[in-house]
Amino acid sequence: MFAKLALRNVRRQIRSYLIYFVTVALSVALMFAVNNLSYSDQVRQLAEKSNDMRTMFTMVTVLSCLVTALVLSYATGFMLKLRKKEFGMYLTLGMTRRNIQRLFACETGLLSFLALITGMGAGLVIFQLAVALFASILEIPFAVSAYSPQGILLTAAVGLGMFLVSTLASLRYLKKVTLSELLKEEAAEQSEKHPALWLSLSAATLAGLIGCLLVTYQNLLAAFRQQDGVALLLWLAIDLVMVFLFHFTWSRTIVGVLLRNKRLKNKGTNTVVLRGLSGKMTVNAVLIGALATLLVFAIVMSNVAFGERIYEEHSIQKDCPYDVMAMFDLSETQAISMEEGRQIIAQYSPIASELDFQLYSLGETTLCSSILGYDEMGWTDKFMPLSQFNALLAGCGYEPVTLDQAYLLITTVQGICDVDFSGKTVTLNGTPYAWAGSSTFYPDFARRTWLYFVVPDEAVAGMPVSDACAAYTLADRRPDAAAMLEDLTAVQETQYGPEEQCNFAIQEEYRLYCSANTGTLIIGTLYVSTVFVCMALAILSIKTLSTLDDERRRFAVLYRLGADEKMQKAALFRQIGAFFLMPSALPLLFTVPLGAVFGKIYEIWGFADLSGQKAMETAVLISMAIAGVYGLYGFITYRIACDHVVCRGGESCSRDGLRP
Amino acid sequence: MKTLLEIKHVTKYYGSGDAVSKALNGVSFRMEPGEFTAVMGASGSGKSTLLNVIATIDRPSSGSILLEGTDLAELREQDLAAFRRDRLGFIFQEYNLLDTLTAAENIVLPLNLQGRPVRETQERLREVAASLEITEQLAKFPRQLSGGQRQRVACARALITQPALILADEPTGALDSANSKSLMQTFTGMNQRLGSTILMVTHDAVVGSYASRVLFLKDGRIWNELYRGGRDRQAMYHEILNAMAVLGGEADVR
Ligand SMILES: Nc1ncnc2c1ncn2[C@@H]1O[C@H](COP(=O)(O)OP(=O)(O)OP(=O)(O)O)[C@@H](O)[C@H]1O
Ligand SMILES: [Mg+2]
Repeated sequence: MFAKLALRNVRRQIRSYLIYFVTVALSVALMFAVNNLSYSDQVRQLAEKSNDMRTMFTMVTVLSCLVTALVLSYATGFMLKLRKKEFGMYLTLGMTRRNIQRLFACETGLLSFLALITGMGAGLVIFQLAVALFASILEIPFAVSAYSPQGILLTAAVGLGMFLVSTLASLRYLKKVTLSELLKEEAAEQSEKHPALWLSLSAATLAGLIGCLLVTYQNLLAAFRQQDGVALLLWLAIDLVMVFLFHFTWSRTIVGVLLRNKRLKNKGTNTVVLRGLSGKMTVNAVLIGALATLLVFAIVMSNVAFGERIYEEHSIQKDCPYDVMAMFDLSETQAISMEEGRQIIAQYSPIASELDFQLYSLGETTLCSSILGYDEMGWTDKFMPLSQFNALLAGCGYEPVTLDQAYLLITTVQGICDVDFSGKTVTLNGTPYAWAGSSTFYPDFARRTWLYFVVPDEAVAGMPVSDACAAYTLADRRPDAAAMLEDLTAVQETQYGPEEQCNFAIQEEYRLYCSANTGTLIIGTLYVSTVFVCMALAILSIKTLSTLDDERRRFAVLYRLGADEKMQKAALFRQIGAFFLMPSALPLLFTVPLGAVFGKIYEIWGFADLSGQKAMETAVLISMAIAGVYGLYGFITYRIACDHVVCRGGESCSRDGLRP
Repeated sequence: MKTLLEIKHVTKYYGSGDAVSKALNGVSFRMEPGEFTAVMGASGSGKSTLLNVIATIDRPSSGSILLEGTDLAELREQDLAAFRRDRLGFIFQEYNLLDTLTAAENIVLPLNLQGRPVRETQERLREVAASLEITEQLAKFPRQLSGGQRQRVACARALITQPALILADEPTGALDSANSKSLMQTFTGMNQRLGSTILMVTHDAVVGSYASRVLFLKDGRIWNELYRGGRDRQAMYHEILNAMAVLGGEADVR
């Protein structure tokens, strides 16, 4: 008889069971998706190279496992609450506690097991799809292993462990709880306890958060100047904790503060909205804190990923500004001449344009001698005529340079750039030239020289050419770089024996090289942040949907008191909107300081032209993308809630609508 | 004066096919402004259904309900909401208090929906709470109130707007006789001072005797009608008891 009763009850509350099932499956899927990546071979290899990487991915794994564990324990609590009254009824009807415990354990056990399997399956699919998607968007070649055994083990362990712990807790509760407690109506309302305490705690966490962020910023600048990331990662972790605490305390405080404002409270449906939120936010304070942490993490991570990408593209442009660049030291013998090289290149792609330029030298060291160790390196003063330099600059979109009886030192090495040349003049063709400055700002046109001097054209008249160079633009911007490079490389006898020599640099080949190195990081971080955002969204909407039945009863009362459809919709919109906004507002606002910080980092890296604006644009775009997805999801949740909650008159709102 | 409410041949069926049950079966009557009418009848005789149909919460299966000459069926949903909000005070049999709101918040909710200023709201709250003796309970949540206290909070919520039409479904069902009496005095006060029209369901002959007219429902039809005329409450009370005795053993006299 009891089995029949229980079965009928399951059928009656099928939606609640479905919500439970989806919640568990989804959180397992997302945790699995993250673990799969964290334990994949690519990431392991990356982690072996860098300590920071390892720390970061450990943080990611721990964070996702924590959130999943939290959601799982919530879900079991939700199930227990759902069935409390029913169990109370069974007890009054003569079922033993042991029966009830067994029933509950079997039911949740079966459901959780199914959800675990479904979740792992879904996680695998999400993993493959997301990685493939990002790889194609960012044009990064990326092959990932289908799955990782450790990922499966960890996911199953956390899932089962959490299920065991929460079920045992529930069973203990069922053993101890009194009958009247079981039958009692669950408290839906929340009276604020110790409002003053919570308010001061909230103020303290706000101050703490701001303080921590400032310290982190100082550490960040120090880390990028001195290349030391350990203290920084520690502070980032502390920031995440602060974000959590801040959201935890504020979600318990803010509605109480608003409720104390009589004018606000007494307007239309505000009391209903605020009271509804107050209950929800207090119960979900831990969850809101966790979600905010996930979102901050996601936003920072995607900024890091895109920042890395921007940095990479920029450094490629700087290291090899044209599709193919050639540079021949005329004092050496060449295995492949410039003309042969041109023919090889043309086999891969028609050459759209070619810029020839030269470095001139008298073999003197008038200027070079100012640099420590110049003689060991065998450097001599090499000059590039200004017109050629400006033509090269124009080709990459830089402003032309003007020189008036002066020379400009161009280098890619900061140490050389810092050498003081004031007072050093060089006399060429009878005219003295003074120092106009040194710069690392310009792209590397003469890539096999450490430094050269740009001088007005007349200064090099009659001077012998030391290096013959060329910059090619190809019709096909993405040729088969690896094969081309191989063809352009030849073995050459040198004084140290045979050596591979290549006088050409191919931009596309640089790109492939960079991608192979940072692709895992970029895709990995982007993937993790996407998963985190999805996780936050899924949890928020499931939380909202799971209370729809109660909400429906409340809105039916509102309807009866004369709140029309529009008023009800507005109330529901505000309620759901505030619930969604609570964990996301601050993380999204975080964009602005984050953009500024990345701008600063680019500055430290020496990308003066990659101004803060670019960083800010990226950060804002990322946040807008996240906010867009977030808004869409929230809106869909709102629409579903509208269909289930809002009373529009007619049969659905008659007395039945009020019966629990 | 114009007739406030006219109920014409109203029927209400629940279910369909063989399982159909007629909760109302051709009910007709009128209410003039300022009338105080009680509805009595056995459990399941259709009293709540009648009130719900008048309150536009349920729609009648056939027949029409005219409010000041306008057929409610012709009004838009928006106007119906405005009618409920601005003119109607409904005391529900199941109270329908919002569990997340305190008693005070529940009571002032209709005023909030009307957009009344805070000061007026607070003043009216004080008055109505004092007259129903729930001032002490205002900060509590419904779950923390006794059944009778909950019912009085529900009454206060219906009365705070000083509505033109009060529909009360067993407003004294959970009250002791002292509380019943003071609620009835509040009702007659509003009826006489503000001219509120009251339609009240009750099982209690004492409570019914406050009304100027009593309708008896049986199986969804009006079975009998009693007018007070010039009689005092005592005489009215005995009339009601007599009618209930005739109505049959199924009338549950409390
Ligand atoms: N939603 C519904 N579906 C089907 N039948 C209903 C529904 N609501 C009421 N009924 C039936 O309509 C009839 C009248 O119900 P109603 O609630 O109006 O009775 P009542 O006179 O208020 O009784 P009570 O004094 O017990 O409150 C009853 O037979 C009831 O079973
Ligand atoms: Mg009834």
